[in-house]
Amino acid sequence: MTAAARPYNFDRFDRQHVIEDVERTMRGAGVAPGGFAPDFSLPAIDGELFTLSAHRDRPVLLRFASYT
Amino acid sequence: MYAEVGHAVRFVDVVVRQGHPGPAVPAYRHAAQKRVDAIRFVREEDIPWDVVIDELDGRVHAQYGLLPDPAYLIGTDGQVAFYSYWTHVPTLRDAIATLLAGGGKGVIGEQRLPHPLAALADGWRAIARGLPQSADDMEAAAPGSTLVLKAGSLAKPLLAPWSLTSRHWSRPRVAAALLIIGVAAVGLSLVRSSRQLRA
Repeated sequence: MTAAARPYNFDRFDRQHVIEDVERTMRGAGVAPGGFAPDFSLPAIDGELFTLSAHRDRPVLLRFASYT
Repeated sequence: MYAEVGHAVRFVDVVVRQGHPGPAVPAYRHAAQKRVDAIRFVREEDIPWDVVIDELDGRVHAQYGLLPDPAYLIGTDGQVAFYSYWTHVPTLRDAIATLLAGGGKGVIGEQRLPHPLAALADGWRAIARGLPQSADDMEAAAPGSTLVLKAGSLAKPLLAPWSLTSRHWSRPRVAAALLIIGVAAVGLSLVRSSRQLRA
Protein backbone atom coordinates (compact mmCIF):
# COMPACT_ATOMS: atom_id res chain seq x y z
CA MET A 1 0.00 0.00 0.00
CA THR A 2 1.40 3.44 -0.88
CA ALA A 3 1.49 6.31 1.59
CA ALA A 4 -1.02 8.24 -0.54
CA ALA A 5 -3.58 5.44 -0.24
CA ARG A 6 -3.37 5.25 3.53
CA PRO A 7 -6.40 6.58 5.39
CA TYR A 8 -6.11 9.74 7.49
CA ASN A 9 -7.94 8.06 10.37
CA PHE A 10 -5.94 4.87 10.68
CA ASP A 11 -6.88 1.85 12.79
CA ARG A 12 -3.35 0.75 13.64
CA PHE A 13 -0.18 2.79 14.16
CA ASP A 14 2.72 1.24 12.26
CA ARG A 15 6.30 1.78 11.16
CA GLN A 16 5.22 3.64 8.03
CA HIS A 17 3.74 6.37 10.24
CA VAL A 18 7.11 6.85 11.90
CA ILE A 19 8.78 7.04 8.49
CA GLU A 20 6.20 9.54 7.23
CA ASP A 21 6.71 11.79 10.27
CA VAL A 22 10.48 11.79 9.79
CA GLU A 23 10.07 12.45 6.07
CA ARG A 24 7.65 15.35 6.67
CA THR A 25 10.03 16.88 9.18
CA MET A 26 13.02 16.58 6.85
CA ARG A 27 11.27 18.13 3.86
CA GLY A 28 9.72 20.91 5.94
CA ALA A 29 6.06 20.03 5.60
CA GLY A 30 3.67 22.71 6.80
CA VAL A 31 3.70 26.50 6.63
CA ALA A 32 7.15 28.04 6.64
CA PRO A 33 7.81 31.12 8.78
CA GLY A 34 6.85 34.21 6.82
CA GLY A 35 3.98 32.42 5.08
CA PHE A 36 0.40 33.29 5.87
CA ALA A 37 -1.34 30.91 8.25
CA PRO A 38 -4.22 29.24 6.37
CA ASP A 39 -7.50 30.50 7.72
CA PHE A 40 -10.08 28.09 9.11
CA SER A 41 -13.36 27.98 10.94
CA LEU A 42 -13.75 25.00 13.24
CA PRO A 43 -16.12 24.18 16.09
CA ALA A 44 -14.89 24.60 19.64
CA ILE A 45 -15.90 22.04 22.24
CA ASP A 46 -18.84 24.24 23.27
CA GLY A 47 -20.12 24.17 19.68
CA GLU A 48 -19.20 27.79 18.91
CA LEU A 49 -17.36 28.34 15.64
CA PHE A 50 -13.78 29.55 15.99
CA THR A 51 -12.36 31.47 13.01
CA LEU A 52 -8.62 32.04 13.09
CA SER A 53 -8.65 35.31 11.13
CA ALA A 54 -11.13 36.81 13.59
CA HIS A 55 -8.44 36.77 16.25
CA ARG A 56 -5.80 39.25 15.15
CA ASP A 57 -5.86 41.34 18.30
CA ARG A 58 -2.93 39.36 19.69
CA PRO A 59 -0.58 36.63 18.47
CA VAL A 60 -1.90 33.07 18.36
CA LEU A 61 -0.07 29.96 19.50
CA LEU A 62 -1.68 27.25 17.40
CA ARG A 63 -0.93 23.68 18.45
CA PHE A 64 -2.10 20.48 16.80
CA ALA A 65 -2.78 17.77 19.34
CA SER A 66 -4.18 14.27 19.53
CA TYR A 67 -5.98 12.68 22.45
CA THR A 68 -3.72 9.69 21.89
CA MET B 1 3.75 28.93 29.94
CA TYR B 2 0.07 29.88 29.59
CA ALA B 3 0.15 31.42 33.05
CA GLU B 4 3.09 33.58 31.97
CA VAL B 5 1.94 34.78 28.56
CA GLY B 6 -1.72 33.79 28.21
CA HIS B 7 -2.76 37.43 28.64
CA ALA B 8 -0.68 38.47 25.60
CA VAL B 9 -0.97 35.41 23.34
CA ARG B 10 -4.10 33.45 22.43
CA PHE B 11 -3.52 29.72 22.85
CA VAL B 12 -5.52 27.43 20.55
CA ASP B 13 -5.34 23.64 20.32
CA VAL B 14 -6.68 21.82 17.26
CA VAL B 15 -7.72 18.25 18.02
CA VAL B 16 -6.66 15.93 15.19
CA ARG B 17 -6.87 12.17 14.51
CA GLN B 18 -6.04 9.45 16.98
CA GLY B 19 -2.28 9.08 16.95
CA HIS B 20 -2.25 5.74 18.75
CA PRO B 21 -5.68 4.09 18.46
CA GLY B 22 -6.78 1.32 20.78
CA PRO B 23 -9.90 -0.49 21.96
CA ALA B 24 -11.19 2.43 24.05
CA VAL B 25 -9.98 5.06 21.58
CA PRO B 26 -10.62 3.74 18.06
CA ALA B 27 -9.97 5.67 14.86
CA TYR B 28 -12.62 8.33 14.35
CA ARG B 29 -15.52 7.46 12.08
CA HIS B 30 -17.85 10.29 13.14
CA ALA B 31 -17.35 13.90 14.22
CA ALA B 32 -19.23 13.16 17.45
CA GLN B 33 -16.49 10.70 18.54
CA LYS B 34 -13.89 13.38 18.03
CA ARG B 35 -15.86 15.87 20.10
CA VAL B 36 -16.13 13.41 22.99
CA ASP B 37 -12.36 12.95 22.98
CA ALA B 38 -11.77 16.71 22.70
CA ILE B 39 -13.87 17.23 25.83
CA ARG B 40 -11.94 14.44 27.60
CA PHE B 41 -8.69 16.01 26.44
CA VAL B 42 -9.60 19.39 27.95
CA ARG B 43 -10.74 17.82 31.21
CA GLU B 44 -7.85 15.39 31.67
CA GLU B 45 -5.14 17.85 30.65
CA ASP B 46 -6.82 20.69 32.55
CA ILE B 47 -6.61 23.01 29.53
CA PRO B 48 -7.84 26.58 30.12
CA TRP B 49 -7.46 27.85 26.52
CA ASP B 50 -9.50 27.42 23.33
CA VAL B 51 -9.73 23.89 21.92
CA VAL B 52 -11.24 23.39 18.47
CA ILE B 53 -12.00 20.20 16.57
CA ASP B 54 -10.61 19.59 13.11
CA GLU B 55 -12.78 18.14 10.38
CA LEU B 56 -13.02 14.36 10.24
CA ASP B 57 -10.73 14.17 7.20
CA GLY B 58 -8.07 16.35 8.86
CA ARG B 59 -8.35 19.17 6.34
CA VAL B 60 -6.78 21.82 8.59
CA HIS B 61 -4.19 19.40 9.95
CA ALA B 62 -3.12 18.67 6.37
CA GLN B 63 -2.83 22.38 5.55
CA TYR B 64 -0.45 22.75 8.46
CA GLY B 65 1.80 19.80 7.65
CA LEU B 66 0.23 16.66 9.20
CA LEU B 67 2.87 16.25 11.88
CA PRO B 68 1.82 14.73 15.23
CA ASP B 69 2.63 17.58 17.58
CA PRO B 70 3.53 20.86 15.85
CA ALA B 71 2.99 24.38 17.15
CA TYR B 72 2.79 27.60 15.15
CA LEU B 73 3.26 31.07 16.55
CA ILE B 74 1.18 33.40 14.36
CA GLY B 75 1.64 37.15 14.43
CA THR B 76 -1.11 39.76 14.47
CA ASP B 77 -0.60 40.22 10.73
CA GLY B 78 -1.58 36.57 10.13
CA GLN B 79 1.93 35.46 9.19
CA VAL B 80 3.67 32.48 10.75
CA ALA B 81 6.35 33.93 12.99
CA PHE B 82 7.71 30.67 14.37
CA TYR B 83 7.15 26.99 13.58
CA SER B 84 8.03 24.33 16.13
CA TYR B 85 7.72 20.99 14.32
CA TRP B 86 7.68 19.17 17.65
CA THR B 87 6.25 21.41 20.35
CA HIS B 88 9.00 22.46 22.71
CA VAL B 89 8.01 24.81 25.52
CA PRO B 90 11.32 26.62 26.24
CA THR B 91 11.89 27.31 22.53
CA LEU B 92 8.33 28.58 22.13
CA ARG B 93 8.70 30.73 25.23
CA ASP B 94 11.75 32.41 23.68
CA ALA B 95 9.95 32.88 20.35
CA ILE B 96 6.94 34.43 22.09
CA ALA B 97 9.17 36.84 24.00
CA THR B 98 10.88 37.88 20.75
CA LEU B 99 7.56 38.31 18.95
CA LEU B 100 6.03 40.39 21.73
CA ALA B 101 9.17 42.54 21.88
CA GLY B 102 8.67 43.20 18.18
CA GLY B 103 5.10 44.36 18.61
CA GLY B 104 3.45 41.03 17.79
CA LYS B 105 4.68 40.82 14.19
CA GLY B 106 7.80 39.53 12.47
CA VAL B 107 9.48 36.36 11.29
CA ILE B 108 11.53 34.53 13.93
CA GLY B 109 12.26 31.12 12.40
CA GLU B 110 11.64 27.45 12.99
CA GLN B 111 12.75 24.52 15.12
CA ARG B 112 12.66 21.14 13.40
CA LEU B 113 14.33 18.78 15.84
CA PRO B 114 12.33 17.12 18.60
CA HIS B 115 13.55 17.55 22.15
CA PRO B 116 14.26 14.10 23.61
CA LEU B 117 13.55 15.13 27.20
CA ALA B 118 10.05 16.37 26.41
CA ALA B 119 9.27 13.19 24.45
CA LEU B 120 10.55 11.03 27.28
CA ALA B 121 8.59 12.87 29.96
CA ASP B 122 5.26 13.01 28.11
CA GLY B 123 5.32 10.30 25.45
CA TRP B 124 3.68 7.55 27.48
CA ARG B 125 0.58 9.55 28.41
CA ALA B 126 -0.97 9.30 24.93
CA ILE B 127 0.00 5.64 24.48
CA ALA B 128 -1.56 4.75 27.83
CA ARG B 129 -5.01 5.78 26.63
CA GLY B 130 -5.08 3.14 23.89
CA LEU B 131 -3.71 0.13 25.74
CA PRO B 132 -3.03 -2.61 24.96
CA GLN B 133 -3.18 -2.15 21.17
CA SER B 134 -1.47 1.27 21.17
CA ALA B 135 1.58 -0.10 22.99
CA ASP B 136 1.71 -3.27 20.87
CA ASP B 137 1.61 -1.20 17.68
CA MET B 138 4.18 1.30 18.95
CA GLU B 139 6.49 -1.53 19.96
CA ALA B 140 6.15 -3.16 16.54
CA ALA B 141 6.83 0.16 14.78
CA ALA B 142 9.79 1.09 16.98
CA PRO B 143 11.08 -1.86 19.04
CA GLY B 144 11.88 -0.95 22.64
CA SER B 145 10.16 2.42 22.45
CA THR B 146 7.33 1.56 24.82
CA LEU B 147 9.75 0.46 27.54
CA VAL B 148 11.73 3.67 27.16
CA LEU B 149 8.55 5.78 27.25
CA LYS B 150 7.26 3.89 30.26
CA ALA B 151 10.57 4.46 32.04
CA GLY B 152 10.32 8.14 31.08
CA SER B 153 6.84 8.25 32.55
CA LEU B 154 8.09 6.80 35.84
CA ALA B 155 10.88 9.39 35.89
CA LYS B 156 8.51 12.21 34.94
CA PRO B 157 8.72 13.99 38.33
CA LEU B 158 12.41 14.46 37.55
CA LEU B 159 12.21 14.89 33.78
CA ALA B 160 9.21 17.21 33.43
CA PRO B 161 10.62 20.24 35.27
CA TRP B 162 13.90 19.77 33.41
CA SER B 163 12.19 19.50 30.02
CA LEU B 164 10.29 22.74 30.68
CA THR B 165 13.48 24.69 31.22
CA SER B 166 16.03 22.87 29.07
CA ARG B 167 17.12 24.94 26.06
CA HIS B 168 17.05 23.37 22.67
CA TRP B 169 19.92 21.03 22.02
CA SER B 170 22.39 21.18 19.15
CA ARG B 171 22.09 18.65 16.32
CA PRO B 172 25.03 16.51 17.59
CA ARG B 173 23.55 16.48 21.09
CA VAL B 174 20.10 15.47 19.80
CA ALA B 175 21.71 12.80 17.60
CA ALA B 176 23.70 11.46 20.59
CA ALA B 177 20.59 11.44 22.80
CA LEU B 178 18.52 9.66 20.15
CA LEU B 179 21.33 7.14 19.66
CA ILE B 180 21.47 6.45 23.41
CA ILE B 181 17.68 6.13 23.59
CA GLY B 182 17.72 3.86 20.54
CA VAL B 183 20.41 1.60 22.00
CA ALA B 184 18.53 1.50 25.31
CA ALA B 185 15.30 0.67 23.50
CA VAL B 186 16.86 -2.15 21.51
CA GLY B 187 18.60 -3.47 24.64
CA LEU B 188 15.40 -3.45 26.67
CA SER B 189 13.55 -5.07 23.80
CA LEU B 190 16.14 -7.85 23.57
CA VAL B 191 16.01 -8.44 27.32
CA ARG B 192 12.24 -8.70 27.21
CA SER B 193 12.32 -11.04 24.20
CA SER B 194 14.82 -13.35 25.86
CA ARG B 195 12.68 -13.46 29.03
CA GLN B 196 9.63 -14.29 26.97
CA LEU B 197 11.54 -17.09 25.20
CA ARG B 198 12.69 -18.54 28.52
CA ALA B 199 9.14 -18.37 29.88
